[in-house]
Formats: sequence, C-alpha cells, structure tokens
Amino acid sequence: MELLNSPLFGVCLTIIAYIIGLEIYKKFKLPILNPILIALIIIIPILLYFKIPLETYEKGGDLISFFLAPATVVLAVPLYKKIDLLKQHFIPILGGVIAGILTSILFCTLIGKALGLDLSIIKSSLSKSLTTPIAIELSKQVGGIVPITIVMVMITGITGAVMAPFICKIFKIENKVAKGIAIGTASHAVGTSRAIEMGETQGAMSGLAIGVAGILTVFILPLLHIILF
Amino acid sequence: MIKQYAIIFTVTYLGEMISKSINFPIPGPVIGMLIFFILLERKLIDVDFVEKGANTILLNLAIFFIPPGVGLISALDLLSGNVLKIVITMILTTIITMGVTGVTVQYLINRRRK
Repeated sequence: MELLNSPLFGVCLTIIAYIIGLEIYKKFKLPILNPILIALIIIIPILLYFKIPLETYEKGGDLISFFLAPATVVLAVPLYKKIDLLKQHFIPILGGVIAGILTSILFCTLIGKALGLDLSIIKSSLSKSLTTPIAIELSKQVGGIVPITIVMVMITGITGAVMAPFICKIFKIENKVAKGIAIGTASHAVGTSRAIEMGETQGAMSGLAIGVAGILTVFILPLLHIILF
Repeated sequence: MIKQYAIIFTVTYLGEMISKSINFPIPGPVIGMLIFFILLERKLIDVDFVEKGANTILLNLAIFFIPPGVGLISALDLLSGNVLKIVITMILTTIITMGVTGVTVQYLINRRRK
C-alpha cells in the first residue's frame, strides 16, 4: 500500500493504459475502440478490484489533468489556421453551427426528460457534442457530472464517426461544406476523423466546426440553461 | 520550446484570472483560448513560433481526459440502470444535431447562390 502513495502510481497507470488504448485503436482503426474508453476500461476495474481509493489514483491523475487548461488554450492554433475557410462561408457556417448547438441542447433535454433521466445526468449531456476540454468546463458550470460528460462525449463521437455517411444520406446533405460542418458540430474530433476520410473539404470544415461550436456554445449554453432549467 | 510553453501557460493563467474577475460564466481555459486566438490573428504571436509546442500538447490531447474520466467510479451508482437510456439519448441527439446542422448550412449556401 505504501508504494501506491506516490503520485507516480496514478501517472504511470494513466500513461500505460493510454498507450494500450492507442495501440489497440491503431491496430483495428474502429471508432468503437476509442483509446480513452479502453483506458477507462483498464484503469477502473484495476482500482475497484484492488480496492485502491480514487484519491490515491488522483494524486497522479491530477498532475496529468492539470494540462487540460493549457490544452484548451492551444486549440486556438488549429482554429486560427482554418479561419480563412470560415471567412469564405461565414453566414452558412455560423447559421448551421448555431442551429446545431440549439438542437443538441434542446433534444438532450427533451429526450433525457422523456426517458426519465436524472436532472444531473441531463445537465451532464448539454455540452456532449463539443471537444472534450470545453465540454468538461461547461459541464462543471451547469452542474453536470464531469466523468459522465466525458463518457457521453465519447459515445457521441463514436456515433458520429460510425453514422456520418448514413446521416448525410437520410437528411440529403450533399454539399461538402455542409457535411463537414455538420459532422464537426455534432461529433467533435472523433467524428472529424471520419470526415477526413470522406474528403479534404469535409475534413477541414469538420475541424473548423469543432472550434466554432466550442466558442459559440460557451456563450449560448449559460443563457439557454437559465431558460430551460 | 520552453519559450513556447512560457507563452501558452501565461495565456492560460491570464484566462483563469479574467474568468474569476468577470460576471459572465466563461471558463478560464476558453478565455485563454480566445486571447491566444486574438494574439495569433493580430500577428502579435507568430503561428510558426508556437505551433510545435501546441502540436505536442494536441497530439496527445486524449490522455488529459483519462483521469477525470476515472472519476466515473464515484458516479457508478447514478449510472446503474441508466446506461441504455444514456446511450439511446446520445445516439438520437447526435443524429438529429448532425442532420439539422447539415441541412441548415446547405440551405444557406444554396440560397446565396440563387
């Protein structure tokens, strides 16, 4: 037990589980084998089985998650590099992303309430279409449960990556810009990995939408949250 | 590389400070991101100068979510019995959100062409 008290325990466990997750994902290239999900499936049972308290793991875990804040800040770099794309289709992109944000928040609330989900679970879902670092911050703000939000973000990304071509077909979305913006707005970076496979324009637009949706939601969600809850 | 991180961490800290001192609830890291974006857009920071440092962080972005995700252990009670409902909600809302976004963008692009 003495050995577990070092922050290095949590640090090592996290890095090793991440590498295993990444290797499995690289080998099969299936969106469902998300590296974060695999890492959680490795770490959580280990802690539960050996009865290691969460606080013990977090001594190291906190050192790693500290970097979430600077990681969010540097998201400005890929966004800056894609800003010319935004200027080309400013109104359609802005209109589409705002429509997507409102739809996501509204339907998470409606479907969640219809299925009788706990209010804290519904609040955890409001930011689930966004890139994880921003989703986490917004979840904290509206009273969501951060770990649940992270899992929801993953499920959303996997759904988007798997179903994007099918969704574009049933909604008759044929324009490449529209496809990319739709995928990035609804399913962040995990969906974008599929958009990149669909084509260069789709991939670039999807990447752009991640940043635009993230920033706009920061302003829209607190206001909508007051109205809805 | 160390100078790049000096900039990144200073902007992060600045974002945190501003977030605490304004009345509208914007997360500190997001304010930091907006500041960083403005610095790049105004060419006060050269993108080539910070790109390497930024990419090193972004390349392994996913690892930073693992420790907060492990916190799921303390939410297992809340989850039990709700997993299927959550998965259904996530899948449905992703489909609807993607559809509405795409249809809106496509409509606005086509309207402008006419």
